[in-house]
Amino acid sequence: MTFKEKVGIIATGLFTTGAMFTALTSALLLTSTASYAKDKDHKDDIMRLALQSSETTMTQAIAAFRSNYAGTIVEIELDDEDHMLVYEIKAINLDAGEKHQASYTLNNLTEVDYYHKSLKVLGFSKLDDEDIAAIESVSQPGAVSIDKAIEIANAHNSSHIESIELEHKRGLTYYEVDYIDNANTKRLLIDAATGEAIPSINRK
Amino acid sequence: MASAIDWWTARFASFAWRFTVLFTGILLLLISAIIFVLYQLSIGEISRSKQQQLNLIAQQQQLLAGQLQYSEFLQQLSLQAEQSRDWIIAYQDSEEALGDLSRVPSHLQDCPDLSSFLVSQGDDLRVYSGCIVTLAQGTLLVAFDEEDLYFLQQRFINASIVSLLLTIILGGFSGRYLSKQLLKRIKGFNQAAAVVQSGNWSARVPSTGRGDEFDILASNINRMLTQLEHSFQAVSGVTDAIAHDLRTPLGRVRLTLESAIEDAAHHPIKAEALEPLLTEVDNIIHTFSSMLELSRLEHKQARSSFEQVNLNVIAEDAIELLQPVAQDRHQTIDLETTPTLTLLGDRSLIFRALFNTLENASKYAGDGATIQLSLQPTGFIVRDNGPGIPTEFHDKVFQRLYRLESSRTTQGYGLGLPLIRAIAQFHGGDVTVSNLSPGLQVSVTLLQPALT
Repeated sequence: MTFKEKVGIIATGLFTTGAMFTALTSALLLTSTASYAKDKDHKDDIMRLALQSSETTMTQAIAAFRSNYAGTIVEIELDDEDHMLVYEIKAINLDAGEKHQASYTLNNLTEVDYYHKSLKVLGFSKLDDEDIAAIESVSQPGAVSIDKAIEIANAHNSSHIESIELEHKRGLTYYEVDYIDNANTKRLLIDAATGEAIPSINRK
Repeated sequence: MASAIDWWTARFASFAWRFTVLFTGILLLLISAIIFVLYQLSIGEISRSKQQQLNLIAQQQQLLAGQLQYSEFLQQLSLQAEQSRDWIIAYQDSEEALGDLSRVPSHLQDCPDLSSFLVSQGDDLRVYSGCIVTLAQGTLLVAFDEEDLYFLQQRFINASIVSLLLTIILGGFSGRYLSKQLLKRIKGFNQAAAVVQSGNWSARVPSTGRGDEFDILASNINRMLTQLEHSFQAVSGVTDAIAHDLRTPLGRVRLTLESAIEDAAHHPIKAEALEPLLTEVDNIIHTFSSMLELSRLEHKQARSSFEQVNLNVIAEDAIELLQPVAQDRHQTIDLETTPTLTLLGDRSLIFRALFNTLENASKYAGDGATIQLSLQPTGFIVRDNGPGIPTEFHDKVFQRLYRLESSRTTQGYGLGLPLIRAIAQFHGGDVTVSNLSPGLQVSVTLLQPALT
């Protein structure tokens, strides 16, 4: 057997394994999204009712979080924790290389859960360069902070934000806002550089 | 750190490493160049043509904005936006957004500089690349979907990385293999040199028989070793011969002197008693002068003394000089001439060679022998019908001071044939000895065969 043939066989083997793995994962993903959709409708109703009756706001939760923990808030999510609705806030402190996560109850902003973890492994950050660039870009003075993004989202549709998350794609940073509007979850994307809504395509 | 540098320096001293690194480096450079060209011809070309078309559309719309009524302009823009599949055309004035997008993002660069921005397309978020043109009443945006191009670009980059890695691995292995093969050959040379250095002259460089450059080098070195080996043997042979041949006459001289000194008390030393001493010492001096002459001849390069020499004349002179001795031994000398017999050479040296050859024949062929001198266009041949020389000694008779056991009783120094050969070689020819049963043939060429 020549060297070329050997390389050919090894490459084919690797390729086949890769293809099988991809097929298996996609199948798993497909089945999981299907079952998720049903639960979500019910959950949205509860959340909308809860938000409507709530006396606290997301901005207050942020203030409560900030009074205790340093870092750039990258995600706020309305979550169900032991049959209790909470604002789950995640922040990343780049200087300390830590991630903080705290939950505040919807009705009186009591901190019910907190944990933090180091983002460093053997001196290397677990975050990739794009994550770091996104966090740094919104930490700059003049950039759209998460507070500002909430303000924009509220002004946009005067509705109830279910979650807001800092995202990025190929170096472009944006906030992904999920809000509940008439029992439907809708999504708004806000450009983190300009504070404008990301345009959507009309047709074709 | 220092040890790492030491390691690298030590590695780099080895040819195998340098070759491997250089080989892999060149291979990498080559593959990189190919990848670069491929990229420019494929993705680079697509990207450039997209940008050109985009700018063309922007310019066209700008032109129309200047020429048409505003309402007409908006109308055609909407139509064009709807029709163009590959492009996003959008327009926004203070009142409304027209075209393909819900709004025109601000903070984009003016054409022709492109900037990337996000566009949501159902659940999908895609990156578009485009630029804006600020018109009198609003802003025009022209853009294209960059996602596919980006995907292609990523695939290309990944493929490039894989191929470069493969190049490094393959280059490393093949470079190492090639250099090892090469070094294996050189190792043979080193081993042979080491053996020779340790004093064993019989070592030779192995040859693969493929006849490549290494084999040629090996055969040249082996030939050189053989010659050197012969020279060394000759030197030691000469030393032995000098010791052997000179000890006897010197011993005799000493003995004579000793007895003369002892006798001196009783009766004065007579001239007759000293004469044999003089002869012995003359012989010794003659041996040394011959040796010196031979050495000089062997190292002589200049051919300034060369002239056209007539062999016929020389042959006749030599025979005439030898005739009395030959007659004493009842020998006959035949001369066989050929008509055109002048050649370029040193007259006195050629005479020496011819005379010595004839004298040798006369000396060793025995009484009543017939000696035949045959002149050739390139030299001469001397034949006799004496006892000849056993074949196994044909090489040795050319060594200085070498004398056959059978000839030790005859007067001589063992320098005749070496001198003849030195003269022949000085002229570009050589001497060969062969047996004629019975007898001996000594064939002397004075010209290189190619020159005749």
